[in-house]
Amino acid sequence: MIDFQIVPADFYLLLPEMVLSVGAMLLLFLELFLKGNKTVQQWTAFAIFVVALSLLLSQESSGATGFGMMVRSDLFGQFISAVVLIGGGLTVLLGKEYLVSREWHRGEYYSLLLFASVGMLFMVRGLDLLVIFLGLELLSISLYILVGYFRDRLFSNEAALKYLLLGAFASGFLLYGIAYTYGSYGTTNLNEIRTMGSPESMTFHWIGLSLILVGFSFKVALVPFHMWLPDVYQGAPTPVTGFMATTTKAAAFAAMLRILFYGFPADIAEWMPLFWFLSAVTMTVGNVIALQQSNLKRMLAYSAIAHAGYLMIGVTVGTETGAAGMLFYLLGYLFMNIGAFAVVQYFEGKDETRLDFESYAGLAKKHPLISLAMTLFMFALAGFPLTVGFTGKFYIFTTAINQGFVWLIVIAVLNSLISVYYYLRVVIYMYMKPLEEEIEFSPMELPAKVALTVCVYAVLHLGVLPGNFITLAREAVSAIF
Amino acid sequence: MIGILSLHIILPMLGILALIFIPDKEKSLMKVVAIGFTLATFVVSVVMLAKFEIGPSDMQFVEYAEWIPQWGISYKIGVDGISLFLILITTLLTPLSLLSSWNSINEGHKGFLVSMLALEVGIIGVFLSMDLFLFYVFWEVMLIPMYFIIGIWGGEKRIYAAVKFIIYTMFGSLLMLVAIFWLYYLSSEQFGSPTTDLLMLYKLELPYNTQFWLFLAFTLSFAIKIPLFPFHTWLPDAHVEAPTAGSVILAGVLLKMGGYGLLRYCLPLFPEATVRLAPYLISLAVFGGIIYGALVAMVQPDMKKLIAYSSVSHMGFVVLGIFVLNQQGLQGAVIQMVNHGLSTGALFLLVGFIYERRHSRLISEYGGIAKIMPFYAATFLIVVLSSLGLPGLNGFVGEFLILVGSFKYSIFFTTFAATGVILAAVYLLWMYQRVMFGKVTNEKNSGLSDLSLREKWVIVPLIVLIVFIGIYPKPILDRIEPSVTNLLNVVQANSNGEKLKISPDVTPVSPERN
Repeated sequence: MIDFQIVPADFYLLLPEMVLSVGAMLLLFLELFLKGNKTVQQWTAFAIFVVALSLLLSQESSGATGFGMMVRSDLFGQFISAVVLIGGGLTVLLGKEYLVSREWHRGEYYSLLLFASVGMLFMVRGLDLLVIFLGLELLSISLYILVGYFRDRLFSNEAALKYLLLGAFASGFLLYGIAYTYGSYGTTNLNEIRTMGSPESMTFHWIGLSLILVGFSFKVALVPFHMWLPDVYQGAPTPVTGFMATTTKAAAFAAMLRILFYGFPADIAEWMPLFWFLSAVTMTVGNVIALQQSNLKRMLAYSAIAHAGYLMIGVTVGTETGAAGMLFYLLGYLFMNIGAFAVVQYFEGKDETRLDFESYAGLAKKHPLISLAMTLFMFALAGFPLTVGFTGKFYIFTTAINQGFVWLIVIAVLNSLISVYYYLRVVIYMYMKPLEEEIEFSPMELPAKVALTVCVYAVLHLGVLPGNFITLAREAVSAIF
Repeated sequence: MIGILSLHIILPMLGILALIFIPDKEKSLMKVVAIGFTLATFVVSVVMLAKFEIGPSDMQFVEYAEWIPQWGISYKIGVDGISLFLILITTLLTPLSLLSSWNSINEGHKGFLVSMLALEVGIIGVFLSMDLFLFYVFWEVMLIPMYFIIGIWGGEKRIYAAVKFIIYTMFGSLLMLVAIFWLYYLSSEQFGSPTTDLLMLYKLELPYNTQFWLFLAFTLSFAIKIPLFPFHTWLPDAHVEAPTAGSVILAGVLLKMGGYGLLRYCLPLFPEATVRLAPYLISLAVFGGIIYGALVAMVQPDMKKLIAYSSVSHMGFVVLGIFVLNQQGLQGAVIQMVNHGLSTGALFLLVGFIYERRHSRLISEYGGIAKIMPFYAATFLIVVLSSLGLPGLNGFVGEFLILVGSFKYSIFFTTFAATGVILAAVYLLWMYQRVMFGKVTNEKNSGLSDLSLREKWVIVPLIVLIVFIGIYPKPILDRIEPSVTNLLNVVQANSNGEKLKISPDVTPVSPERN
């Protein structure tokens, strides 16, 4: 058993989480005293994210563990935590304008984002199944509230309830799986499981691992565990949808990678056929259903499912480079997707009536820059070169080919072809159809502009000069192998 | 130091940058700037032509820079006899097509000009790339401006045509991408570290089975671009709907990317598969390309569609020339690509001129135009004759060489291919007759004005080149020849015992006439 001692250095490891948590509570107080001043709330929340990120990046990433091997500070955790925190920061920047225009601006929004981020940080930095579970629960509970944030709107309520029910179901699976794993190994610590090698009960091991995988499949929305996703994405406030689609996916995939590759390295090869199948089915179902969507948020929701399928290729491959490809892709996906949702939230209008393709008709003439940004994000999601969508896919797909998964990649590129059709529909409406109705949008506020610019820049930078980030992703995954 | 080849890519990019900062109201300034930058690019490429050394078969003016060293990807560009004239025709046709559309684009000038310049960057990049990754980047990125050109400034069914264009080409290029991944993997397997450097990839030793699949994937992508039957159906739609400038670039240069791809990638990378599969591609080229294209062209009521199908037929000759795998055939294929770019580009420009006046492309709307627009009719005649391969004009040189090459390969195929020349005469002259001769049957046509000075400036350079190449093709053939010989030697050496029917050491014929 682990000798459980807490030394001051352990707290140093958890500094980012602590800053986020304290900051979240601080914001709740600020809400009491600073009711009117929304800008201060926004910038405070943003500052908390920035501080947490800089603390995180300044930490040593040598693989030091803390709290009796409960958490581990390594490059892998750092990489994904950075993705989460950047995503959180961008969502803060995008959130205020959206909420103010709907008269729903509350300090809780920022607090919940911060709490959700804490949860995700625990998920990706936890070395114990229970810590990962706790992180997941903290994340989920914050998200249930964020999804149902507009409590007077039916859509939002429906989404929150669906998410709660299915999310709780998934958590149950996960916890049950952890229990079985404990039953077969006598511990929930991934480090011990790894060193132990063979379990005491193979049956329990199998049941445990499959239940854990089901739990995570719900979270990253692999087919057939994806049913909740479109409704939830559609009903949630748009900035929250962008946040969920990117950071949650990153955190859940990272936790899955850590559990599988770090905890159960021997099992990956055996599970490969299942992963292969999940990957192929997920991307195909996601893309084919996305073709039929007329609502942009739903289209992006199904595209999120499809992208989960592409990411699963990295798991299927089961090598270090496969995982590195996934990290790189998750980083890129963050920017292209949050960017796309940022444009959607700008155009959707106060009452969210302008979410269908038709309402994008002719927008390029009146909003050339925002339309150009949207075009970039769509081409990036479709995987065109010079955007991160291409370099990311190149990374994952070449790795898969190296391991001989030619047919999986053929399926994947044909899926990309399908996706070209629906992503470009947005472009068609914006550029090639005449303007339907004259609608005045209030000009985009500075924070949102900053967020959008960051996304555009990152999509291009990672697409044209990905070199350093490839190295970084490679170094990061070596921590879990 | 920026080399002369990088200038070809950078100048249009600078043009785009300049255009972005010009206010929307300054329409003429924008056009002048765009044409200025494309003309500067043309001048640069003429300088390159002048400096190009005759004799060496390898790449010249090679530039190299690291790009993504982690993946073994570099920015490596170069030019040889095969790509030289394709680049020249690109830099020539772009300013001409911009000049031709001086008045025909009514809204979104800036977007149009930016798209045209981006298109030029993409196409030149494809011809210059000596790195597979770089090639693919240009190959794909080039689709986006073309997609916008068709989709925004096109005709009535423009969206349908644009989507069809992009989905068709993407289908091919994505399967090619899988093949690129595969090559990439094989390179890391055989060389120790992965690379996309083309000259390194040439050294890969691939078993026939692997070559077969890779060859199919690459060829499919190129066959869609060329286009070869049965992958040609996007072409008529794209051509008919695209604005004149778009059609000119599409037919003049874009299709050549397919033929160029076959020469640069399929032949040297997969020599054994090339030799073994050549008969199938030849029969496809002859029956599906040359003859089918000509027959369908014959019955088109729409001039643009007719020319589009004639492209299918003419590009069939290119494929035939490539896969007979001998000196004459290959040389003919390269020069045929150049010639087809000139004459079909000119044809689309001419149809564009009359479309601007009458807003119709239907042959039946016209008749007796020769009396009303004599200069127009004269130039049109020269271009038509060049397109159908009249000796003394450029079209003849390529088709003659290809037929000579093909004759050495198989009399059977040559017989059928030669009927394509006859059929070309039928559909082109028949169209010419119906449009130009006879009485003026349509009242609306009686007041048409002949070509303006601007339009003459567009068409005359092309006519000059058409005549020049027809009379004296030697300077061009001399520059093409070493690279082609080298290519044939590579194919021969690596075809693993699969004998080429004709040894490549035959001295080339230079059909100098007059």
